[in-house]
Amino acid sequence: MSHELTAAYALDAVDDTERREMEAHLATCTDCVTEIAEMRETLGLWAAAEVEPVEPPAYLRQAVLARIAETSQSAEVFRTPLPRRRYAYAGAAAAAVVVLALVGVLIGQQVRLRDQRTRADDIAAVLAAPDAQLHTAPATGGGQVNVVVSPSLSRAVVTLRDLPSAPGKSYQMWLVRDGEAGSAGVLEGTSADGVQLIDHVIEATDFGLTKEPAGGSAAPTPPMLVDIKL
Amino acid sequence: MDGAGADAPAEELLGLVATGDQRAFARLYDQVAGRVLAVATRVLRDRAQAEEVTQEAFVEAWRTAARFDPARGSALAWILTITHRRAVDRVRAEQAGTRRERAVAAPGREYDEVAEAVVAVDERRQVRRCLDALSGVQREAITLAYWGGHTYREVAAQLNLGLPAVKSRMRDGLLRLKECLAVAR
Ligand SMILES: [Zn+2]
Repeated sequence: MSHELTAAYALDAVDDTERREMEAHLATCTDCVTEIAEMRETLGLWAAAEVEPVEPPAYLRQAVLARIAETSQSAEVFRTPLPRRRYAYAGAAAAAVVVLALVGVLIGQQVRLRDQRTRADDIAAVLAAPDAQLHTAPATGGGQVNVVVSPSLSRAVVTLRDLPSAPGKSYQMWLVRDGEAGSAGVLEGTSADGVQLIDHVIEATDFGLTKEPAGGSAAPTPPMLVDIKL
Repeated sequence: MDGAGADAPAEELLGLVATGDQRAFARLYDQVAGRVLAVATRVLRDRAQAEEVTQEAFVEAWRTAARFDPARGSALAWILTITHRRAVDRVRAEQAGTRRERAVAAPGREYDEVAEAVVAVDERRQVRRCLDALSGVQREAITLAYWGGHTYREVAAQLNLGLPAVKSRMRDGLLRLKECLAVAR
């Protein structure tokens, strides 16, 4: 009877009585134990990818760390440490490690937008759009450019990372329509890490980035450091 | 210094947590708290309650870390399992009090870290492809249960299905999702 409830149990979609019955069943049925473990792994990876990570407030971290400092671990706990194995987990578990590693890489380029709620909302809308497409390319001379385009919103979010600083110059973004490059914005400062929101991307065929005299130019100065087909 | 580096895999950190290592716990928190809070927020649709559930889930992870078995899965999924169950318990308790109808939660809209979200766009694309491999009913059944916090009986009523049918839709859907996620990555 409980065999059939594995999925509902893994989804936390059973009532308390069924939950207890299933837990009793699991004491004797290794097939169901394995199946539920696999389902939970699947659901965890799925859920982790479905949500945008939320930055937890500092007080929450403090509260959690204070509480565990005063909380004893359950009796079976004190045992020898696991052998230090790295990336030894098969399949989906390894994928989770990769996802976390990617997140870790990006922690260095967190962008704070608390004071710019509207712009942040606009950016969030692009990133959450069902038709959002990610394009990514290295820039000539160093650095990385990601462009997320939402055709339905006719907007794009550009993230720039590790572009070399360019004293006396400005980085400028371009959108190419009908073979014609129009300015999509001049970046402030001489080095550019950060996030840009650009409008009217709908008919654009290419996204480009150049280095221009300070303040920007009316037309791009070769070479294009990045040319991304949209 | 001590056992694991700052970029140690969460599985390794959780192994250290099981020995009472509070620093490993802090690192683990930093790696996964953003996703734990996001999942709790999406199920509960209330930030304050989601923060409470996040705190409870991490305390439970601390207490029961010895039960984590890396051969069975990732640390992230293990912690999200704890989180989801606690979040759903709250939804049920709240419903018992008010009997309020809940629609499926809309995707969370709190982003502070755009760069992370850009990566998430790519992940979501893969996940969406996997969700497309599910039939409409399988997808709805899983979504209503997982994000809506509904029991399978409630899901059956909402989708006009019998109980055996909803159980098998959930099971078949999860198995397909598992296969697709394993292939896609
Ligand atoms: Zn069984």
